[in-house]
Amino acid sequence: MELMETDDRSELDRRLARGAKDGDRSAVDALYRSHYPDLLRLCRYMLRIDSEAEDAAQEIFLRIFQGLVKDDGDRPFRPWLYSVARNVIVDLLRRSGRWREIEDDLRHLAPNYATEAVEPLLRLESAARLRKALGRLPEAYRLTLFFTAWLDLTPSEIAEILGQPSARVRIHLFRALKLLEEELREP
Amino acid sequence: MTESHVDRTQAVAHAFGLTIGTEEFSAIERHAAACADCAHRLRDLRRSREILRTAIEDTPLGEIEPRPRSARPRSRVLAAALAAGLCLATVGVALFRPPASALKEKIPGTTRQDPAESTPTGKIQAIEVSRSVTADRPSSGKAVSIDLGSLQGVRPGSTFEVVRGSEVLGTVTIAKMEETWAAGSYHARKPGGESARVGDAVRPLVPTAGSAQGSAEQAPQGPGADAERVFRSIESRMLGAKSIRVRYSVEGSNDICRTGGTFALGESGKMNYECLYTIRADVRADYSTLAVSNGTTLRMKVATLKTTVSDADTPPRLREKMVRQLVSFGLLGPVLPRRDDQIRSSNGVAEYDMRAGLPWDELRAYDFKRSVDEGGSGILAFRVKVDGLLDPYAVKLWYDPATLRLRRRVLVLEKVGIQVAEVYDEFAFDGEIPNETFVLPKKE
Repeated sequence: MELMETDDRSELDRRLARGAKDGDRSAVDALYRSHYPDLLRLCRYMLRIDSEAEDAAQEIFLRIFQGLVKDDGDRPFRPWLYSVARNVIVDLLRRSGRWREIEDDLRHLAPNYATEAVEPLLRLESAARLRKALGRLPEAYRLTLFFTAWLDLTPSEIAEILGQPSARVRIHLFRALKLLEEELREP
Repeated sequence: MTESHVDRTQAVAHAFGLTIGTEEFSAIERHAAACADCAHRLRDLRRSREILRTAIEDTPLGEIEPRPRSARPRSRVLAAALAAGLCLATVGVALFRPPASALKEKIPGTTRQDPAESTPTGKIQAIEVSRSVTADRPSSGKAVSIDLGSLQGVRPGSTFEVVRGSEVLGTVTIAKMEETWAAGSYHARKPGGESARVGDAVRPLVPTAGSAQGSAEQAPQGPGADAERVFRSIESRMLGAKSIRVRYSVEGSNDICRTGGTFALGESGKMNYECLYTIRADVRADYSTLAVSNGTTLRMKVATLKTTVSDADTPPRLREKMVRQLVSFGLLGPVLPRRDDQIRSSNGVAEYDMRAGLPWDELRAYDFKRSVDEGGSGILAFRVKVDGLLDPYAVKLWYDPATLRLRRRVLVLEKVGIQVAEVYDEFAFDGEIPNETFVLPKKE
């Protein structure tokens, strides 16, 4: 079922993107209405400044619609949208000194701690505590958690957005969950 | 996955959607259907994901980090969509985010805010050039102050009617002009009678390079003085006008976007600014900005991919601000690239960071030149700089020498290759503007 919904949505996006490229205003509106809420949520979640998030979301859409001019209209829309979003957000965070680089070499990390890392979430009594823990995570991991927990994207789509192989996305997710669990242990 | 149970890492990946579309997905689902332990574990993991999802959804703004002091509301413009960005930013930056220090001092010798605020007052209608200025009742023998009498048409012997409302109080005639340009002092006398001083030295809105802030401008001298006088005259004419009505269109140098709109400036803080822009590439989109001030409230309605409406108090000295903008940068003026280190290039497209808005206090006009084109339009060339900007704008302004109405303006920022032409299809002083123009648009 999930597969079917994903495919349907991708196909719908593709048709709308073609329409937008051909100058169909209603297609532009439909793409915007369909994706703006999630996009704005991502911008807010990452940037945490309302006006900055709204500006970023507008800029992302502007880039997308400009890109459609050169595009053949067949590229998967959502991965493209969120790739642009990721680039814009990372760039904004870097320029304002709010991007923390993370350990690039993840080979030493044992992935099997992932299950234990998730279980404390079930015992949480304070949502605010979880939000604060999320806020303390390095930005790259927060991005990974958004794309895996919030959006219903396929692994290949997430890999494309994050610019990493699928296997590495998994490791990123495990690492993010582990760090989250460590943050939750903090008083 | 082991024979007996789903591997723990596979289970997490599965719960977080990282097995969708793979063979792993079906295998895990099949196993969970037959294994209560694994099904239970997957349920817990999915619940954990939901908790995480809720936390992401509920992440409040501003709770974790206060807004950085330097991060003022910002707009960033892609050069390829220059007109669009210009449109969005122009009024917002100009009206909502001027530096607090801007225009702190009242300009001496003028009553340009609202004639009704200075009592007793009448209006002097300049017969020759149909401009409106304010003045004390001349029959009282008090000094008559002119709100920027304007150089054009003001010369010894010029006669004015002094009116209040529809009542003609008398006439005054300029007897002597101490200076030959707008910032000078004038003397007037009633026909056949006594002299009265008309107007004090006026500090220009847009200081020229080297002029002292807060003091009356000295008459320009040396090369370009004549051109600078024209600049002052245009500025004065705008300030003295009862109303200004403009219809304009803009063409960016890259020819992708087209922008145009209308601008109406009335008395008592009333204004109507509308800007429409269309992206004229394969993708077409129409966006608009509407800003209306009824004298007390300024309502901004920006329709891009969504429509936003915001209200603010009408900024003090709205007329001065808009005239300063109109005479120096034009209606798209506040969009200024900042220093080089804030200009970057991404995917071959230059971008400009204008989060700091327009620092009006640092604005200077200089290097004036004047010429006339074949069609009889006066051409005023000058540069406008703002301290902190690496490069000044070169401005070329076409105007009607007889009426000082603007016809066309070209802004050039040579280093980064921006050129914007603002064409005034209509530019009228002192026309009647219907009251409906200044009625706030509906929020819906």
